[in-house]
Amino acid sequence: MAFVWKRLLGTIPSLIGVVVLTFFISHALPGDPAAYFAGPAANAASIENIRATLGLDRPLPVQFLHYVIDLAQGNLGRSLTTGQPVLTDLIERLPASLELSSFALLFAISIAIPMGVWAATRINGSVDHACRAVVTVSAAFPTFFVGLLFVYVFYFLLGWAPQPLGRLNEIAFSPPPHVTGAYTIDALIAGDWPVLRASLAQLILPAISLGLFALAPIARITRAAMLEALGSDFIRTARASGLPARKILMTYAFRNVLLPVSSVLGMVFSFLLGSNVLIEQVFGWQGVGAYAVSAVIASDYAAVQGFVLMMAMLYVLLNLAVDIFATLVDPRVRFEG
Amino acid sequence: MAQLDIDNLSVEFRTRHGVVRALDSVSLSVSRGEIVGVVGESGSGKSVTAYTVMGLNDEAAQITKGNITMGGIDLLAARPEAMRELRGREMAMIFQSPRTALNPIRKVGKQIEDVLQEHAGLPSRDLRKAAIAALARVRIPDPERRAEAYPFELSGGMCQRVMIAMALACTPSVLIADEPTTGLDVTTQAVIMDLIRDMSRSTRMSTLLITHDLGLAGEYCDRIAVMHAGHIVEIASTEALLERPAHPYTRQLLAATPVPESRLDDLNSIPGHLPDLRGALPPCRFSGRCERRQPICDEAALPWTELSPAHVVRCRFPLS
Amino acid sequence: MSIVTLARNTGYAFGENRLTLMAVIILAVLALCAIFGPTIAPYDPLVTSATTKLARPSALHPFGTDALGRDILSRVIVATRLDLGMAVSAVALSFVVGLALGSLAGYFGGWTDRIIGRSMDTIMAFPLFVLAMGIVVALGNSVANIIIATMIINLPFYCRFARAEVNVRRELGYVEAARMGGNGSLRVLLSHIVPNILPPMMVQASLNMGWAILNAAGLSFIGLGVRPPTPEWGIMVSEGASYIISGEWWAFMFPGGALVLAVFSFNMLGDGLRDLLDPRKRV
Ligand SMILES: Nc1ncnc2c1ncn2[C@@H]1O[C@H](COP(=O)(O)OP(=O)(O)O)[C@@H](O)[C@H]1O
Ligand code: SF4
Ligand SMILES: [Mg+2]
Repeated sequence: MAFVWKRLLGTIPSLIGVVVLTFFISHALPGDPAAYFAGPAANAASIENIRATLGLDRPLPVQFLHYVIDLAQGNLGRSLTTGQPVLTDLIERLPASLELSSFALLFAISIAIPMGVWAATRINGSVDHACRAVVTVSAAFPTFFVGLLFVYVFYFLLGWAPQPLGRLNEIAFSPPPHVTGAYTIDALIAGDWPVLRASLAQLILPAISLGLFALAPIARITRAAMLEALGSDFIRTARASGLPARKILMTYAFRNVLLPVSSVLGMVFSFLLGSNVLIEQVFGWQGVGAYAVSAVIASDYAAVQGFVLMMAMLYVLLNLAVDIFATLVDPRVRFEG
Repeated sequence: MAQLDIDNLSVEFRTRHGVVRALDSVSLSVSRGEIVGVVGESGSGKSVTAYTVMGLNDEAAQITKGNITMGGIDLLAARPEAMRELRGREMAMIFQSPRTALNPIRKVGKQIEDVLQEHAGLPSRDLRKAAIAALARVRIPDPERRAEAYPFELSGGMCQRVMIAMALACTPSVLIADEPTTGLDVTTQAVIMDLIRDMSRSTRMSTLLITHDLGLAGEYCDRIAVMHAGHIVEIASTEALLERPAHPYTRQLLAATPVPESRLDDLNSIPGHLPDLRGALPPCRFSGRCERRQPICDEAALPWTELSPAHVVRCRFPLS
Repeated sequence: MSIVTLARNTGYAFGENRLTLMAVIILAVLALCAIFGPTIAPYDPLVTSATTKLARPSALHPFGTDALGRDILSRVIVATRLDLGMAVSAVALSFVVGLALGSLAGYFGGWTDRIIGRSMDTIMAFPLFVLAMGIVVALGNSVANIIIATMIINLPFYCRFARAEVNVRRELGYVEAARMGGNGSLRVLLSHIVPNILPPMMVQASLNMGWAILNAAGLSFIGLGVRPPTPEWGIMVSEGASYIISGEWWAFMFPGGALVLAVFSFNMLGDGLRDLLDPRKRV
């Protein structure tokens, strides 16, 4: 377990970097938060006034100190639009976003990995072509556009999907009792099948449109790593030892693919957290992304910065999880420390 | 009858750039407990011979003629599943670069257990003990602890011993060692070769030792076959081959082989290079590099010359 | 690289790989739209019409009209300049700044390297699109700031690339020789190292263009930077989105399609250029 501690310590520089950069963005850049807070009707005097109450007239190091103290107390400021503390707002909406992103990731991984493995075992076969097509398409299509295309095709044309207006049709259903905040899981816990069905129905399109883009890099690296593994010396040894094909494919080749796959997960998460914003906007999903977009439109300064900080923290944690996963998969990584 | 018998074997590779005639009429046999060396430059077809015996050739390979039997079983007629069951149990193979030949993220003990589980029919609770016993048999000190190691924690020599332990875990009757000591330092090389020889002798295993180092083959083999461009050009007992090489190529190989007291700069490299195996080839594939070549060498089919019952050479004008 | 191999690779890039040729043609068309957009557009992209709201595509309006009755084809054409302009400027800026920072880090090493490296790591510690959002909001909601934000999130890739390339070349013989010859560091860097790393960085840049377009369009999709009624693909998709559930598909489809076409062409061009410079990396 020592290596887990080591990795944990390793995230400290990233966390410091995140805090410093977020501070820098919100306090040191030429944009004027005081003007935002004062609103459109403000005059120079009222802006000055707000500047003083926000402490924006003090020297930067002092501001930074206050910023860090505030952060340590979980104080991200107050949202102009909701009137609540930003942290409360974010925590309230985070489960919805995590639900969406997790389903997207689950979808991506459960398609991409078998696809990559299959493509590698049958180069130039139909799965291989499909794999390449997905990679090309996902590199050229904006996520929000794909989300909208799906809505047009599956809601309007085919009528398979429910109206893309949030997490649950709240006219027909009431949300399940709050446990985790993810409707699907809460409905499952409550044993409320109609709500589970309804919330899954709302979830499928946004999760797939988001997942499609996480799918491509995972499939590509799985295919490449699997090809390399299958051509490697130790697979030849396994075949020379008469191990069954299944064991060679799964225990020998596939496990060696997990390390390269985990190395693209960082990029995949970066992408998921960013595109989440766009997809939530498209599907009216009431998560932190949609919250950030309304904050952007309303120039709700503290809310946006709080959102950025939270996503960065989440991203650092996800990268930590990936690191630990890599260490568990590959003893060599553990050794290098 | 020999334990392993390769008879008149020809193998081609269909590639995008033409058909590579990698093996042509190769015949070779190994008796029980015998160590037979296959020697030749890189690219002469040694590995292809080994892979064909093991049934490990890639899909581009086509066996155009010949027969291979092991203990009376027709290997070329065997179904893939039957071949898989023979591999690891009745015939085993070890390779060069042992450190990459082992799965980098699986404990070496586990890798041996995998083979035992597949072939030895042991209950799973006995697998670990059997794997450790296999490691002990190849004289790995502290086998319990080594079983827990990953390949990257072991030296090249130690990895090769693990490979040998794995290959011999199910006491196969045939072992093919393809350049087992290439890349190891000289001392380790000797240790590994001694081990292979001892194991062959003690279990009466038929061993095919593939190497480009005639010196090494001379030290450990009972008989040696010299291979050039997909042909076996000479087969003889080790003593006869080293003392009375009959094929011009064998003589050049010998000249290029460092004896212990030779220095690197004395080494004669073999002049010329292997012919392209894709084009039209003369009956004697060595003729392009041969000093003794006569017009007839390129005209008529090339007969085997029998110098003694155990010493045959594929040359019209063998050295005497 | 000899002329012969260059010619052969060009043959490959354009002959065997038809996609590259297609990409070049599409990009040429887009470039024409970007330059002459307002002239070739059949209508004024800003003129609204109460009588032709959300008209289906027809001979009169090949791409239909939007909710305010504006001609979508004209808007898509005119938007080209802004969309490509944002992406090209952002990429050019990251190229120059990244090259400068990366070269300094790679050439001087030590503290310079550490500070620059740490800064880039810090940028990479954020989900990049989210960081870009934060930057635009902080700097102020404008097109220029979208460009700056896109530049910043692209910076680490160029910087790291340049650093690695410079680092390798710093020790090479001809560079040593130039240094021995009494040339100053900056001179050696500029005249002997940088010219050699430009071609691979150009490939990087063209591969990066598509991503930059997607980023800028994503930012404007959520209401950053570009303001209505300015025609821009991302914001047009966003405006058209409201009418999908009632079946008016053309308002979002055509600007979205333009985005896809542009990104796809840049990606293909990047692949083609890479093949041209380094055929080994072909997949
Ligand atoms: N998979 C393959 N496809 C095409 N040609 C091959 C393949 N494997 C081996 N060959 C050719 O067969 C010949 C013998 O190779 P090999 O048996 O590996 O030589 P070596 O004696 O060094 O082990 C070489 O000319 C090689 O190019
Ligand atoms: S057959 Fe002729 S060419 Fe071939 S090795 Fe003998 S002498 Fe040389
Ligand atoms: Mg070989």
